[in-house]
Amino acid sequence: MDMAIIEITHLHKVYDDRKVPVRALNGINLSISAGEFTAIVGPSGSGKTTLLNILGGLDDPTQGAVIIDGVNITAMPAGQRIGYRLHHIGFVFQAYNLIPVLTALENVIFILELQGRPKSEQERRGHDLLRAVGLAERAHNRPGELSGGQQQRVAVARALAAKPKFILADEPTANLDSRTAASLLDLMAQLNRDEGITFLFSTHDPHVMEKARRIITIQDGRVEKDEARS
Amino acid sequence: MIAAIAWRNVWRNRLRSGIVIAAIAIGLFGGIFSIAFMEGIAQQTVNASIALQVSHIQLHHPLFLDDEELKYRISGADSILAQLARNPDVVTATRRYRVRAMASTAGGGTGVEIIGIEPEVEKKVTNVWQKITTGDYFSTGRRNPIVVGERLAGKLKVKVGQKIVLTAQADDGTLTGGAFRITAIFRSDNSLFDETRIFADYRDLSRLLVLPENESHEIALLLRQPQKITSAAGLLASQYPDLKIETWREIAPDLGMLQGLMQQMMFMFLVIILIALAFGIINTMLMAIVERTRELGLLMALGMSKIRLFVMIMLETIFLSLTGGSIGMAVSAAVIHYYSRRGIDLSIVGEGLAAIGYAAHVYPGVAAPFFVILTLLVVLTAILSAIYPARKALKLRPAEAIRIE
Repeated sequence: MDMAIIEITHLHKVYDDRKVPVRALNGINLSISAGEFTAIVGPSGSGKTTLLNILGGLDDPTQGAVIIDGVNITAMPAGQRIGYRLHHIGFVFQAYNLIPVLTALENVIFILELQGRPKSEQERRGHDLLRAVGLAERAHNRPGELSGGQQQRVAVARALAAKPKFILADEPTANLDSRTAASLLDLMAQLNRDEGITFLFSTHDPHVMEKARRIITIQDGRVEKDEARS
Repeated sequence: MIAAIAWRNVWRNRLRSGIVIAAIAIGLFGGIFSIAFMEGIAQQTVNASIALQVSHIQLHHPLFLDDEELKYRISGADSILAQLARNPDVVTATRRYRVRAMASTAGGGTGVEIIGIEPEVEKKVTNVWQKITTGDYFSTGRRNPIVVGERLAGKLKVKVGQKIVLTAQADDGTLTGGAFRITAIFRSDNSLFDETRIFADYRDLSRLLVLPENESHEIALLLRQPQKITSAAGLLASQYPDLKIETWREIAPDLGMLQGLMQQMMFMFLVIILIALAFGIINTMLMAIVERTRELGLLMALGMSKIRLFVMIMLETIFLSLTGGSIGMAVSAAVIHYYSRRGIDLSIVGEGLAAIGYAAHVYPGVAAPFFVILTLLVVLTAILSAIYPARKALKLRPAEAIRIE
């Protein structure tokens, strides 16, 4: 097995800003290695999204640590974490992933622009990535002119643009029909196989789960099952 | 790209942005046009007053303006006029006697000021000759011709061709009088002026009051470059240390004050309009941010820094405001340009305006630098209006914002 790029230790998350405190995560310990294609599954409210948010540095744990490539991101100040996200983590969300006023190409380039890459590189890489997700000819369409599946592909291209250590995808297929969902998963699996991109995605779609090579089941904020598949 | 996003965001909700842009444009148009109108009134009042009576610079005996006594005269007026004629800064200069007198006719009597002028030279300095409504300006061949204001003629119940008896104190202290024939009646935009002034020939007045012909009470002149009035006045003051040299601002301080007051009022007016507009802008931007919570969360999640997010919202507000501002200013400039040539006819209320010395035809106008200042003010308003909505956006937590339905 490759070395771990994500180490999660004793992760707890309690939402105590509500009337009744909610224990979303209840002591999670996990290790994710480079090149994994892993699904996090579990029923609604099991803590999948909370886990992914903390992994992505979007939320703070109540207790515990997330160490990415030796860097404890949970100890970082919020401002610094924004920069860390920009350079090291790719995101694909459930829906409304794209900036509606930008074209597909601009959505991809946007990340490179935030990173301060030179203009020439932005253009070239933007086109390369759209080609890689099969949307070369839709480069100048805005999200509103793309189908749900196409939008998610653009989101994958954008997530790749940053050359992240891994891509977090929170229920990326939840709003897609089964055929489109399968094709998006195939694209992700292919990128994982051919380019060695690490994917960590949550889902409760059995078809999506089947494609994963490791399935981590979460129940009541705990890891209930962690199985590797061939 | 942040600027591109901001610009495109402006046009996402065309109706809402359109309403704010229209509000800004109309608000500014109202403000700018009122300002141009008031500025036009102020400028015209000043110009009219300069042209009618004050001229640019006047020379007097140092004590004359304090109490207009006959004895406070400029001696050697002839040679001073000859020197002024050679002065390259001066267009024309003329001399006057100014005497308080009693005007009486069969119809009544009233106190007046007789201005003894050299009719042909005076024409080049002031424009009373252009204000003649009936008769001819100092038509030759008549003895003791005078030109009087319409109001005075009405008060004394006289017409062109009829006589007025003018009584005044002569230089030797005796009371003397003479009959003068009205050759013309004028009407200016200043009713007080029309009611109190009588123009007579300099020589006739000298003869009546036994005043030397080579002296005068007043020398008035027009400058080639009115904007250099202060330095020109300074130069004359050093040239004629025995005389009092005054510019129109000193002679008629009310005119200078009118301009200053108008400018201050205009500024206040504009600031009030901009404050009102600021609330409209704040409202629109708040709505835009509430509507776009998820998207702002996405931008933050992707790694857009707070500073960039702040800049994006600032730019969006500035673009929105400047679009409205530009339209407002362009429309104002066009309308002002049109009316600056054609004038706005206020003759319906002309009587009332004349009573306070204002012209009935207003030519609005604003100086070009005004638009530069206004543009800066609009941008400043936009920046101030964006602060609150932008702060609200910055407080969003990406993990929560992104899940808002």
